[in-house]
Amino acid sequence: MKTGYSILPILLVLIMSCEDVIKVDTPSEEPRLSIDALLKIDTTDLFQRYQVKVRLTDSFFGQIPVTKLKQITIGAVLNERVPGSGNYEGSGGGFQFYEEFEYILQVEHQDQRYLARATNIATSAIDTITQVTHASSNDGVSIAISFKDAPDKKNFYLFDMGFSELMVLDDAFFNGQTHQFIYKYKTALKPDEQVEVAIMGIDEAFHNYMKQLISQSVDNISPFDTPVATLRGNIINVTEIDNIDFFDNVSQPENFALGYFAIAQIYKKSFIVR
Amino acid sequence: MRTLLMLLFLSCYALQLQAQQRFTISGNVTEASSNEFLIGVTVAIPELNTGVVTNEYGFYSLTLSAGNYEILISYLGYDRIVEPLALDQDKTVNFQLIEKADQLEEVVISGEKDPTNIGSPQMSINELSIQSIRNIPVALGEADVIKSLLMLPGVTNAGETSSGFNVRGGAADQNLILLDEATIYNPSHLFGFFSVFNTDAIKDVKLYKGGIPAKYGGRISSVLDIHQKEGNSKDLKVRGGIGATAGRLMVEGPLKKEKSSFLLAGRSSYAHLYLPLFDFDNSAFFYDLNSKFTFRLNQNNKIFFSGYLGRDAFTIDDNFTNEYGNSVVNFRWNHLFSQKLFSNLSLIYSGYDAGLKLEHEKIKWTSAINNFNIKYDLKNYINDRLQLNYGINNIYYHFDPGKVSPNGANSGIVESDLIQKYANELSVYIDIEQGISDRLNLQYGLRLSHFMRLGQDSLNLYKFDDPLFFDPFLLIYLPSEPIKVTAPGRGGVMKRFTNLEPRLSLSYSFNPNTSLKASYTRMAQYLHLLSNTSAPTPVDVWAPSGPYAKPQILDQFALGLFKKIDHGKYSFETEGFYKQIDNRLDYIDGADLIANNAVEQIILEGEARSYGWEFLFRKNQGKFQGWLAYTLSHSEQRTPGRIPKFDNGRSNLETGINLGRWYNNAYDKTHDLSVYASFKVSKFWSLNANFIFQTGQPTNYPIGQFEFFEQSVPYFGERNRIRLPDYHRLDFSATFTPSRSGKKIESEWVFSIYNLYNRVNTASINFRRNLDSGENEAIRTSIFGIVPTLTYNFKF
Repeated sequence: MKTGYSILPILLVLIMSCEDVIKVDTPSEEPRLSIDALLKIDTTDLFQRYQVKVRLTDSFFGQIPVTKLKQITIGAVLNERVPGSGNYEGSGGGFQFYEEFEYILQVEHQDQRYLARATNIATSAIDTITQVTHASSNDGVSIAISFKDAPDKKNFYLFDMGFSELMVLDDAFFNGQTHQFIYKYKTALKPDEQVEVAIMGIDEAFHNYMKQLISQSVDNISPFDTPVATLRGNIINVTEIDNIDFFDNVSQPENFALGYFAIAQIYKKSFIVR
Repeated sequence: MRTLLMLLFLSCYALQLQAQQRFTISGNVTEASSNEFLIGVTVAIPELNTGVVTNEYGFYSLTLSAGNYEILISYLGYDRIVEPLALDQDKTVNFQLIEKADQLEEVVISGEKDPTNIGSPQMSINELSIQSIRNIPVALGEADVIKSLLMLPGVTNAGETSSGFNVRGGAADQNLILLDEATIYNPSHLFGFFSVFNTDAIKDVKLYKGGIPAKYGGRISSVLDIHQKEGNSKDLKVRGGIGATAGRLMVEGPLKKEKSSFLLAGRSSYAHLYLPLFDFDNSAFFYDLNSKFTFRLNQNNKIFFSGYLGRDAFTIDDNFTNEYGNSVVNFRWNHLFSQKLFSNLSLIYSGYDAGLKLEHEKIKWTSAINNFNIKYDLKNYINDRLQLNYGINNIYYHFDPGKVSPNGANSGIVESDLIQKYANELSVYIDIEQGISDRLNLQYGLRLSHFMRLGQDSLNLYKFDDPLFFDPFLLIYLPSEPIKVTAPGRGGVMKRFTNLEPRLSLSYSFNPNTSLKASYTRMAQYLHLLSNTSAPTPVDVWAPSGPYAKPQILDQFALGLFKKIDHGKYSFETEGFYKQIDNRLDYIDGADLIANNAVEQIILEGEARSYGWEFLFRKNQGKFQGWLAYTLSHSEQRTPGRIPKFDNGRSNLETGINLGRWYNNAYDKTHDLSVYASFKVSKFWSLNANFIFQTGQPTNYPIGQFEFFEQSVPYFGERNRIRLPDYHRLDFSATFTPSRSGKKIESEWVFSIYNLYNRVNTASINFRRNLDSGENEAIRTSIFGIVPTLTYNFKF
């Protein structure tokens, strides 16, 4: 279903399965640059503020270290406001992201140069959020979210439900319609808590990336899942690409940074847990 | 062509041999109390050192020089018949075999059928008697055909909760599963907890892993050939059982005594009835029905109707509902043109459908595959050294990927029909079984298959015929936008494939107890089960080969040594195999297969190969019986980048899937050891145990982590680089058969313990951040701990 629901962790939930935490020796490789450059553009903000977080990878049970860049630009130069934080911020007033325009991210790290391109994708606002009660409401909170899909084009959505709970959706089966779906929280929410839900406009490639990212980091890996493999983002190492000997990355497949550069229009809406 | 000439030559040579006057004896062999046809009974003339075995309809035919002989009818577990035979004219003789009295005092206790058929060129067969299948302890106490086959060499599955099975490193969709000659598309109930075959209704189970005769085609890894019982045509009989999760009932009897019979069997789970008592939100339910009607019109004509219907339904968490099932209707007519020419005509419908309902997402979806199959098979018994099998088979397929529709109010889902697909597969075959000398026997044949992908309502066309676009910088594949959508219409043919599939098997007997066998098999498979998960799921969709997917082609070589020890008390067999499969589909990372209308945008053609060595040592007779099976094997696949269609003057190569490198299949098990032992303690008690050890399933552990969207994201390397911990367990069962003491009902209590020493076998390991502690952790999921069950079986 091109809708982004991870289907079928089913049977493991059934009768006799059990889960426990175990100690596993995971392999590791040389630290690799990772760039979190998801820029959320809230058009209701007077000033567009955006942040790119730069880290190195570490073994799964290690601590993720911060790293320092020589330079980072998205149209304009980004600055590390808090030195040593690895968080680079846009200047605020000076630079504007226009809908459906393409922007380029350039990063210099040690003696490597990285590059990525992203288009600012518009989206629809959330119409309503209502909490729903189930017939057999055992535990957890479920909400019904409705929004109007923009007609005449393929739309992809990323939802941030709060509490690091993410979900992707595409409009293949409800193009141009007002669509409602139900989301069930994995986190136990407290009554009277205010929860902010965000909808973001993304493109197909980032949709596919996020779908895999969610499935690899949150969902269960079960016999019903696809084999997990390296999650390649859109940030490429261009140091060697000189258009004389190297025109592309086919001959150097191991040379890339993790993470993604995407520009998503965002709308937020809150609800209060009953 | 050369093979064909050789075939002709050998046939003519064999025909010349019959110079003196010859007569034919033919007939059926049945079981005395039920009149069931018996499959694989040896009908032999010991003094001529010749014989045949009965076919799947219990028929035999032997043509010999005139003379006085002694004829021997033997079948393991049955009293043998030795009769004088004065062959001075053609004769029709039917034999009835009587089951051996199961008395403890007797030294020989019935066991497996002649497991190592020394002289026959057929190799690579796993065969189990229904009795053994009943005895093997399984989880939840329900005797299971597929779980039992997993105990034999060369057969594994992807895990405790995985559907289907894997033969010699092949995928689950490469098994041709036949129930009374009809294709079964999904052999599993409840995601693999049970198989769809009710052992009460089944007579015979045979799994071909290699050296597959030309009669079979359409799947490349194996053929699981299962025949249902005809039903007792002498007396009304009832058999049934009550287990922890499911109950069974089978009724069989004569419609007209010894002329016609019926069999009706049903099975249903009832765990869903008591699960809510444990405050359990999820529900799972299945049932199946088997039926068969047999009419023995006369010695030359028999008619069979059979049917199967199975259904599964799941509900998870009030959100997810999944329903699926197989259905089969089948008509067969056996006709004897002469004593030497047996024929069978089959008209078969079989289908499979699956549906999915997601309450939260307010969407539902159904899909189905249906086929209509006409088969005409002939078997020509030319003489005792030469038999010809030939036939024709036409299968028409309709693939209905169904439609997506809204489920519930406020759903924005627009009802949309997915594209219907049609195809036709026609094949003809000839298969020759020939005894060259007392030592050398051959079975060779040729299958010609022709697959037509018929027109459909709409077909995407792509620039450069390329539905996938490779990004040479990001090194990922992305779907191409179709440049045009055409409507080929349902009348025409969009794509044709023709394949010649030669088969060759030979056996060379050093002595009556030892033989060497070798085989070569080429097969073509035109259907693909679209599945990118480790094990198939019930909602996986079958898709035909066509403009964007070529058929899978297999070449398999096998070599084996077979030995009977101490007059068949023990047997030993060992086989090596090598398989190469071309055009195995692989899926780009993160591909979404369900309700996908343009699957060509996410698939690439790759190759797969597997090789291994199998050992099987059996003890076939006595109070103590059992076997030890071991397989050492490897199975892997790769999908390199496509060759550029044109040269743009620069590097325009692709990396392929997984950087084009070989990776282990999910069902690659280096070591696979099974030990099964059964011990008949007394008239009342028998004990069974099995032990299984398997190398852990290939999977991936993260080679690192990175941060994205305030989440710690595990970062994985290439596919399937690591293995889960090894899998092993011991099962035990005790069967108590109370003394009948004049009662009409014969009953039996089976007490079984699955996973006796409560091994925590890892089904999967998940890597994620504990949101409470903020630490990353590895979480192991395991399915079955120790599971005791009690089953009550009865018959009268």
